Amino acid sequence: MDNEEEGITAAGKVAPGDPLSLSELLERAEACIADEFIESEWVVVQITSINLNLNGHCYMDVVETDRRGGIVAKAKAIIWRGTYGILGNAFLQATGSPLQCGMKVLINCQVQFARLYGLSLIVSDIDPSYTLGEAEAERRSTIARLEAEGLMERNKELALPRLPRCFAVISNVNAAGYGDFMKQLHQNGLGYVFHTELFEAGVQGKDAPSSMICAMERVKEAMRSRIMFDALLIMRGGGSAIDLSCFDDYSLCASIADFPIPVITGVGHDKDFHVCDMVASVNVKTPTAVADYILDIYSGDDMYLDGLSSRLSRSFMNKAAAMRQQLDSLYGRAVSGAKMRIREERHWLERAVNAMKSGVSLRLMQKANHLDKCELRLAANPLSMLGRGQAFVEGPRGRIFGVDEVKEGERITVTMKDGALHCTVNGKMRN
Amino acid sequence: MKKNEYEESIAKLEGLLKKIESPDTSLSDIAGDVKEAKKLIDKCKGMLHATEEELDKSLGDESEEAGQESKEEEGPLPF
Repeated sequence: MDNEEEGITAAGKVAPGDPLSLSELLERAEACIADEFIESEWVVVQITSINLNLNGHCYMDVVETDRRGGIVAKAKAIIWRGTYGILGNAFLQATGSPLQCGMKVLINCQVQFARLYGLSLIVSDIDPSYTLGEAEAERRSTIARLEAEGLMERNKELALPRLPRCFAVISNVNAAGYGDFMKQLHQNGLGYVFHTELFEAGVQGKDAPSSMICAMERVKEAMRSRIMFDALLIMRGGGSAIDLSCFDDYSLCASIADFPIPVITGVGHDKDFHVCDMVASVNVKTPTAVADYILDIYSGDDMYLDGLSSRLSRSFMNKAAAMRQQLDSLYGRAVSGAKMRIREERHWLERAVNAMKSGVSLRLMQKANHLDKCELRLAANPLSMLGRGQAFVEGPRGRIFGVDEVKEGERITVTMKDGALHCTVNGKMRN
Repeated sequence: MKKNEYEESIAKLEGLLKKIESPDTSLSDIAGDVKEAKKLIDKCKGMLHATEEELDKSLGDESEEAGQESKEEEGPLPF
């Protein structure tokens, strides 16, 4: 169709008779933008890609996102080589981290429109404090949300086993902190043996939180199927505030808070303290400190057992000494008691013997006296009287002691010491 | 010595003495009784003497042992 002729467009409108060329259009846009943006502007952008070209220029894609993370604006940003050398270093020194994807930065830029390249933001300055402040703001937001949801103390309620031995580790094999931890734990020189299993994850950058959350899911899966870990260790070595800002991520911290076993964090250096440290069951300063924490548990228990052993030994020795002393005392009492008893019995026996002797002697004496008397009686027998000139008279009725016991004419016998006279009584005469 | 031998002898002796002392006993009987009574007295004396010796020996051993054990009183017990 001829440009000079009027026609109907696909949308049903009347086509212009004298349309612009693209270059004319873009030229007009360029002019408008140049008129509108005479001065540079400070703009908050989020870096979604960054590329340092061989020529030294830094090309970035920057966006603005809404609360749900949806992109609502997008542009290209350029830091020319000379500027990048200055800004890049300054940013690194201030934040400890180079410009990288995921960062929200406050840039001072000139809006430029070029017919060939379209809209670009030519960066002339960056405010590092904004990026740091943004990280701090996100951190505070994470804390507030976790507190509101009651997650700050949840993982702390889980008790670490008295002697934890089996650990799941989320870190990166190339991270210096991981290597330090492994060396400190497994080469402890105290004879303690542990089991550690690495579930590798990114521990830096905007993808680090999701990477670590995925690793945590793998840990859960392992616990469901084959192994029960005593604790989860999340570690990385030191880095800049920006590098470590991933440990303030809400999703990561919520996952830690809700984890089914105690989580021990050892992130960064001594001065670093992140939200993940707040929600973890235990937090220590560095990966090496994590190893030391575990070793201290065992050393402490060793010392406790040594103490108990010493106490047991002392108690036993004291008890044995006391029992020995008691036994010696009892033995002494038994000996002295027995000896006293023996003495008493012996004295009784002696008295009994003496009494028996006395009694027997008395009896014997009595019997001897009796015999003596019998002997005296025997000595006084009639026959012994014959020797003294006496005679005995016997008649028909037995011995005669008086004249009335015999009649005249009876025969009597007179026994004398040397014989007997047989006589007849011719008469009697009284005295 | 048989049990009660001394007492039996004494009883017999008593009997003989009573017989000897009795006016109804003839002199011819007295001689035998006196002789027997004398034997009994000697026998009883002998038994008394033997008993005394035996008791002296037994009780004398006891006394010696008691004296010996008294000296050993302060020594250690066998257990």
